[in-house]
Amino acid sequence: MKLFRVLAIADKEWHQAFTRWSAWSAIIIPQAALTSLLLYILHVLSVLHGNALPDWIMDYFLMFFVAMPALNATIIAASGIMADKAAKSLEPLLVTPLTPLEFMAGKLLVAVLPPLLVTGIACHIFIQVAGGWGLIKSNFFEDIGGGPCLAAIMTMTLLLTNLVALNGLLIAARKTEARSAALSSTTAAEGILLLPFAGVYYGNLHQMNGGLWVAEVIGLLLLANVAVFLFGLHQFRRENILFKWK
Amino acid sequence: MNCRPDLGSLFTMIEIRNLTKQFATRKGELVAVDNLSLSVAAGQIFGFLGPNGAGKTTTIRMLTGLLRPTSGTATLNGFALGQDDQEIRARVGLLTETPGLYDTLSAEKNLTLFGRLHGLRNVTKQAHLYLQMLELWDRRRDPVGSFSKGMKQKLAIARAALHDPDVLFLDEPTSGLDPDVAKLVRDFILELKSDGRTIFLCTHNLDEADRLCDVIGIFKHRLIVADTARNLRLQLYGREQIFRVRRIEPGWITAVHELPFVRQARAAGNQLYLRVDNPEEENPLIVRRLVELGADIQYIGEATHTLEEIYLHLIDEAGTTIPPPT
Repeated sequence: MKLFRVLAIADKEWHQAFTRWSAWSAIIIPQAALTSLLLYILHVLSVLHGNALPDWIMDYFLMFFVAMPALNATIIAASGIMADKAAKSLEPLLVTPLTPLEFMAGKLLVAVLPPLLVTGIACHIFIQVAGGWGLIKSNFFEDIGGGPCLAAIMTMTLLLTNLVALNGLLIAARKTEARSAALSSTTAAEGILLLPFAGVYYGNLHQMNGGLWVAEVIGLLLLANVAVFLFGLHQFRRENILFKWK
Repeated sequence: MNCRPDLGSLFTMIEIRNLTKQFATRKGELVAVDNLSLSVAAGQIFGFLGPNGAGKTTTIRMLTGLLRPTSGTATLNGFALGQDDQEIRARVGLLTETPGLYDTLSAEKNLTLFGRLHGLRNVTKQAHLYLQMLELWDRRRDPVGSFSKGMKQKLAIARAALHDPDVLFLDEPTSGLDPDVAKLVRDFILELKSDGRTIFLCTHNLDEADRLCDVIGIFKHRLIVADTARNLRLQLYGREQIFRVRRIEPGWITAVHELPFVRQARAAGNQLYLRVDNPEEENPLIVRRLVELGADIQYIGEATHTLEEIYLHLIDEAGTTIPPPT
């Protein structure tokens, strides 16, 4: 794999998708709205239950931030493929030495990183505001596993976003119409996004340490990522793109 | 008919041996390319002609490493298809039937993207060079979506040639272009040839093929013939001489055909068409005979047959000899 080719594809995707404010607003506005909504709900719950909210509520709230970038990522990934199909630019691309791995990596980079960046900022704002209101216990992160657990949650977010973006690429490969590709990929993503919430539920149900269930979810996501990526490499082979993609 | 052009001692850039591609369809196997064998010398323009659906695009896709052949071998500049596909892709440029450009990106960005994919060190310089050569410099920063069809086609050709490939595959490069742009594109193709590039040209514009191509290959699932247009004319029609006379009397055709060197004789209107091998030597003898017969000769010339006539003749002939793909 040559990094310069991955970056060339990423650069092309970036210029196609993010040189317009409409693309950024499509990421920022929903995330800002969801962050505000979560803060509002947190505020209402604190009024009802007092300031000392149980940790499990915060677990679920954090999972929204884990899931949030994925929906953007799948749409960006799917629309990237649809743009190539609309421009009929796939064949000229395939005649270059670009490999399926480089092609996918370039597209994933742009589908995954901007939503993650925006979510990171949104999550930071959420923690600062909720902490400022005294709604998050000062030792909350230590309670759920400390720094390693936070790193694990970030890894989980990255893997989940990547998995959903891969899913967007593969669904778009089989679609002929952009709206249909976006709808199908988000519908499929919603199913995948239940995974972290199910992890929280499972972890709380079995009184598991935060780090342990996160590790289990990461393991599952890692396996799913590898499997879908390998399937993607097969789907992105030249003959498949030319003859099996619609 | 000879299916291999006489290339002399020129270096062979493309060597194809028994290349076959079958597709599995619901109705069974479809043979798109059947046992194609062909050599193209370096620095030549090879015209690959054939009707729609003849398998030309499939052949190009195999030669550019996009499709795996069912059987057969091919080498491009010594690199073997199926073994050195990455090397081949680095050394070929392809102009597809549709330009396949990114409408939201500028002309310059469209070029630099492909330059970077090919690992060019001087991408911007190279892109600027081609933008100037193809008269797109003033619009280099404009989004390609605002370009006319001709400008898009020129940009697509620049993209195909940007990395200085050994072989350029051009599929209908002047289709739908106005005469000015078509001429510019044709001149550019000749310039690429003069730089030593080998060009594999698919076109339905037979006049263009006649003007540009060193060798013509006529193809319909199988290669029907590959030779220079001049040789094809000679093989099919010989050197047909036209003798225009004031009027033709009955019996003149037979009388002239009796001359031992006249291979064929026919009349149309007040013209006699005589096929001979060596008109410089034989025309005076024909003139003498016609004058003896009492003919008033108004004009003598050599018949020219367009590539279109040759193409239609051969495709028509192939229609009766080549079975449809199964």
